[in-house]
Amino acid sequence: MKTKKLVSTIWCEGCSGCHMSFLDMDEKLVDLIKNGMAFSATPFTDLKIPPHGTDIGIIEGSVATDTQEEEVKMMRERCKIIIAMGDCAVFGGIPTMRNRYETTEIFSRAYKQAETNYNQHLPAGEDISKLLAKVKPVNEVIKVDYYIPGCPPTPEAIYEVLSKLIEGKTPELKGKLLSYE
Amino acid sequence: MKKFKINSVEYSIDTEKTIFEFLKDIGIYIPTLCYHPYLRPVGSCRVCIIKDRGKFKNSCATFIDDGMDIETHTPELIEIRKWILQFLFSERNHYCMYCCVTNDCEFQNLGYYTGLDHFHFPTFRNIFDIDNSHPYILFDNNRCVLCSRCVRVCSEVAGHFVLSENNKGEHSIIVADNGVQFGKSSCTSCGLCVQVCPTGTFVDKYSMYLGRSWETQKIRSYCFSCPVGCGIEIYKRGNNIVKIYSDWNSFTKGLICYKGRYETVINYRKYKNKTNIDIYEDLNKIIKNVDENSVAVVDGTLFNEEIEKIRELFPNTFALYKVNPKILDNSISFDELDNYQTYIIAGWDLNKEYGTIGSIIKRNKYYRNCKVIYLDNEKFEVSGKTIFIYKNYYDPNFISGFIGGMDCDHLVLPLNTNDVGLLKLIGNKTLQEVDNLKYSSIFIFSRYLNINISNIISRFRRKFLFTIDINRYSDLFDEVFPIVSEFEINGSFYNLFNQLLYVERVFDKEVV
Ligand code: SF4
Ligand code: SF4
Ligand code: SF4
Ligand code: SF4
Ligand code: FES
Repeated sequence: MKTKKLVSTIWCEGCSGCHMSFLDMDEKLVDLIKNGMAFSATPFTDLKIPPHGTDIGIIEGSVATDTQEEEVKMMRERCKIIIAMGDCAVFGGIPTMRNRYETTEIFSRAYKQAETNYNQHLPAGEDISKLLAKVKPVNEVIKVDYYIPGCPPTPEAIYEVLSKLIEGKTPELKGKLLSYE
Repeated sequence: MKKFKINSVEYSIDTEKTIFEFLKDIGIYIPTLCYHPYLRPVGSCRVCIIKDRGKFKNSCATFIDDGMDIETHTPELIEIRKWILQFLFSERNHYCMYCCVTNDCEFQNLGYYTGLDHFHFPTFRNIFDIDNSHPYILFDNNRCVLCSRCVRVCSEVAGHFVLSENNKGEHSIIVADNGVQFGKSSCTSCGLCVQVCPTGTFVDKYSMYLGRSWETQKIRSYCFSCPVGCGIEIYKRGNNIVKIYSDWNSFTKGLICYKGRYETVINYRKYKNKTNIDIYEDLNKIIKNVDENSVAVVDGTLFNEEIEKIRELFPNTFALYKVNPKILDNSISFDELDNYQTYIIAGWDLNKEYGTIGSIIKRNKYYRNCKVIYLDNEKFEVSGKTIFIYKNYYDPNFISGFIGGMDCDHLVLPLNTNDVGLLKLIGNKTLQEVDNLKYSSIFIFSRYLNINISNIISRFRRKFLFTIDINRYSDLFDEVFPIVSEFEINGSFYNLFNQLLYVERVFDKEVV
């Protein structure tokens, strides 16, 4: 029997739109499973940590905090193939809009000047992740093997890449499947 | 005769052609970015790179030469093009998902064409201020690829010389007037920079998000906002005008001014759904009987067909104002305006009216060192082939007082778009010259009433107006009838070069 290819996903600085698109593969997900895909840490299982030896690790979102930096490094360690899914993971995307400002300015705007914020406390504590000075695409932190741009990428594009990978082929996004928006 | 090879196939030509032009002729596509078919090639972006006998060359600015052995699509060249694009993409803000030109962007299409799916470099490190000070145009250097098309079109074509490049390397930006706020610069708002920009750096505020080019229907027409009648392309979607671009293939060769590009659209949106009378089709239904006590007055803001219809219905039809009959002697063509050594200008501002004639004069002043003289009381000397371009002054003595027996061509600029048609169809009879007015009812027909009419109408008992802006004059008239805009009718007009131009109906009129 063919061994199953194990897929895990994580969600860093993104809106979850890419994961929605991933789920929007709908019945095609069943095809993927039939053809030899298995899911570990994904929205299906609600597991958060990919097991060692995962075949395909999918990362949504850019890298904006120290925790996310550790998480993507963990993904690289534990997964044989890394896919950056969506514009934020591939290019940096919308979260990079904050790169224009210093982190102190951002905190001040969000927690002190915000019209809806009455107590004006900066969140503090050991457990809270620290913002990196700049938001980065995933390939500025770890080596990425495949890219699926799109905001979000279409379910068709995600399917194309995953189905090619199960077959052991090199995926390539062309025509309508390649989109930056 | 030049003999050369392209991808090992032999060709020969005996004309001067760039490699890119020749490849296009034989159906080989090469991606380009800084190249624009109506601008002088500068060969700066290198996206169109090819290889000739081991050397890399740009195809858009290199002329074909004897003995060339050109390769166009080797894996090496395809890879190099991808790298060049990647440098450009990653240097600035090309996050398409929050760009208003996405899915309608030449630069983005190049990314898709080359299959670019990520960058090897950190992106968007230099951040520039966004300039939103211009009334019509949003200007965001963060999306600029420094192709210089805007700089070239603003100078070479439009003659305005507003834009230039500033700073060096990755800090290079496009600036207006060497660095003043765009909205405070000498920009005349012709919008040609927007039209040629391959990215979302220059974008029209009035058309953004209303429809991508491929979602619109393109209608070739002529601008009816002034008597030049420049060739335009109207982009329509549903019942809206998305944008107006200049038509490179018309007699005005891509020139346009702020009125044609922006004001017509703004005007259309202002009166849309508020007017419903088509003079040509509806006048008979509204005015049943015209008795001998009624008189009609028309002006040059109407199309020929409308004037004819009114004349048919009213035995007594007059012109609202006098048109200088010398206009009929305007015998030069738009093209020939490029051939003078001295331009004398009287009564008009070449940045504000007859904009594209202004463009021609300004670019010739710079590129051919021509003389431009504004007519005032000072003495002046002219040299070379001279043309005197003046606005509709009726008094011939005024003119000759200034230029006497000087040997020069004349170009008279009428006030309104179809003043030539008005003159041809109605002549120069105005009401002011009729001594014993026997009429008691006056019907004024003017789409954009732009002269003072209180003196004219004061002698009449019953007063009616057909115009587009019904609220403006409602207290002066017994009744004001709303006539539709030029976009809602078929019509024709004579421009100031005496060309008869046809304007096709863009929208069916709305039933109010
Ligand atoms: S200018 Fe074009 S390539 Fe750049 S962000 Fe906008 S749509 Fe994308
Ligand atoms: S709108 Fe016209 S004048 Fe103004 S910068 Fe652009 S090309 Fe130049
Ligand atoms: S603003 Fe547009 S046309 Fe001008 S250099 Fe930049 S990308 Fe090119
Ligand atoms: S010069 Fe006159 S005809 Fe040409 S675009 Fe401007 S307003 Fe229209
Ligand atoms: S298109 Fe040829 S160098 Fe830019």
